Amino acid sequence: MNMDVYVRNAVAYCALGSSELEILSSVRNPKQASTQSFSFGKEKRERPYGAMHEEKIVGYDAFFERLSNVILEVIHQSNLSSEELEECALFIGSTSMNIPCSELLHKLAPQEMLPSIGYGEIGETLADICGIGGEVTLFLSACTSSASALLYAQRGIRSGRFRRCIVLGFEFYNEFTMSGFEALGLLDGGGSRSFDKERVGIMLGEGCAAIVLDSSMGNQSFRFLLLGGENRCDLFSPTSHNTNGEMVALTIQDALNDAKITLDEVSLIKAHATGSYNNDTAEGNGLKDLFPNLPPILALKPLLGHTLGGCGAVELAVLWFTLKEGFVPKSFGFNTVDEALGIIPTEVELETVSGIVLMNHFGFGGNGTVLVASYGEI
Amino acid sequence: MRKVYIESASCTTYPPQYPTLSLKSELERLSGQKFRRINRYILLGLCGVFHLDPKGIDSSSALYIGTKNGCIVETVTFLGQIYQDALLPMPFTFIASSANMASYYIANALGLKRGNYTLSHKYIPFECALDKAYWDIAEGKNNSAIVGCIDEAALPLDSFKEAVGMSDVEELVEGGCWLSLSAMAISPIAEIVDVKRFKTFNQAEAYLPNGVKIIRDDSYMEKQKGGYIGSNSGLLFVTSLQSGLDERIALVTQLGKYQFLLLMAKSFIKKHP
Repeated sequence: MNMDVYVRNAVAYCALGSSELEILSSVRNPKQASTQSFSFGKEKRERPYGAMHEEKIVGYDAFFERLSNVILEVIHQSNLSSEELEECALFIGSTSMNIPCSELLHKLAPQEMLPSIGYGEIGETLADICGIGGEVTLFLSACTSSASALLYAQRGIRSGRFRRCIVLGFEFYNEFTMSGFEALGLLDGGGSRSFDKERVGIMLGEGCAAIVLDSSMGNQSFRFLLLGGENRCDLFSPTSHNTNGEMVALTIQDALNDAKITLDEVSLIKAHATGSYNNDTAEGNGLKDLFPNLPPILALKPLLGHTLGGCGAVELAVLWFTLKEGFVPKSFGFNTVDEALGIIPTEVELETVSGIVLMNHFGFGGNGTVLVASYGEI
Repeated sequence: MRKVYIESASCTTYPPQYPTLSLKSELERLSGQKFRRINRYILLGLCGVFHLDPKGIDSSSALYIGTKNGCIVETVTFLGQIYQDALLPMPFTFIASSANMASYYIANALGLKRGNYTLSHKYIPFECALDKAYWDIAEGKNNSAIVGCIDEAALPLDSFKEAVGMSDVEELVEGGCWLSLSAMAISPIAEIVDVKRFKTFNQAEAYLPNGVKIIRDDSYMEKQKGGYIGSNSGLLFVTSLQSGLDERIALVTQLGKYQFLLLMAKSFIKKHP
């Protein structure tokens, strides 16, 4: 069996806004990223941050309310009945999962934090609130978490094991992550400058997105077909892919093979493009080795911040909104060409009607997940 | 659809008081490799996979690890560093708190470059990982895979047992269970002969032929059995496979509110009770 796998609907709350209209408006006219202060040892530090418009998550009630809202909204938009939800699977990807709640408890009463740690609880609780009765699994592969959840859901629908799945990706602000990346020297005080010569690190961000993948496209007039993908592990280092780009290129080639797409058919690359020196170098070298002629490359993290494990779902939702509207956004934050790398992301907004898009994700633990989709009006 | 064989199995559990240094010595003896800067959670995972017979495992094998709670000790340590002690956070502690770091170190130690997944479920992390590993081999995505689970306890132990719903008298162990799977049938100990999903446990039970040993996960109904903090049913399944006492063993566990997974294995180990 080889079923089609459609993105039937997507909902995202992120630094660009909390509705499709708001996101589409902000992606063309972005505001400057806000700054976030956080404790670093005995000091207070500030770094640019892709903050959501909503209040920061404080405690489990707000955490589950925010996540269930995004799922319930996508269920509503997709007109899924309670019977359809009974057999729907829920796959969740995030890096910090419930750390925003555990760190708050730790601040208030460390001895009472223990019962709140662990991840498994999140899936059961959300499925229960949203009336989802199928399989529930959480994906924990750092920055590729929700991309891997999308890939697994795609494979399951393609082979006929699932009819539809909801994939949730999220990352909410927490000091744990801010101070950890600061300790690694990976936060760029100038914001995210993907592929720019002056890039020195990432800009973190928060967001959540729920995507309905379905063997039917429902009543959509825009077709976004998830064709396939691949996940691979680069053993070079726990925190970075090899900058020679070898494993990046291999993962992309495997993903294209899985999707039965050739290199010259790819018309757009949504790069991982974190803005860190090593990540951009590895990705850029991998792309250059593989593509004799590079298609347009889009970097969304300067607009959204790096939503870590949530980025697969959040960036797919934002990309879906823009492609539906017939454009590829400009990649902000890019000013100076890195001649040694030779990657220039989209410098202006591009019109598009249809094509094949590659979506790259590379993270800690050597994890790489690449997804391939086709899009266009029916 | 291809056949999926279980080439080897291990249940590798330790009491929480088992010294980390002893774990490290055991790992070095088993692997012949030196490991630096790895925490107890990663050590537990590495010890588990190095107890497996590596037949059929090569650089093209995939890795699927289930965990209920992830790397909680490192997370608690890092929170303590930044809040209680107001120390500068330690980069290694932060990196090692990432839930997929065990899968990186295992992949690195065994040279596994294919799919690499760390998965979590409240009750049945092992089954979630096994289900995905099975389908990726059956559908031809991979030829072989290692699948297992890791969970560790946090200190103080009394509070942790209370947090995971265990009584004072129940024994608690860390670690997990592991299988190597292959489509090649090198010298398998079992074959996975059927994997299906049902809406209720009764439907799954009615589907099974007579004489099959059924292992059911009851912890979904908030009845957390003592003895292990991760996937009890997974541990029972692997132990039953290793014992060779039953020819057919079915693992029936609840994946979601209205979804039960049935996974039946035919054992090739023949032992008489």
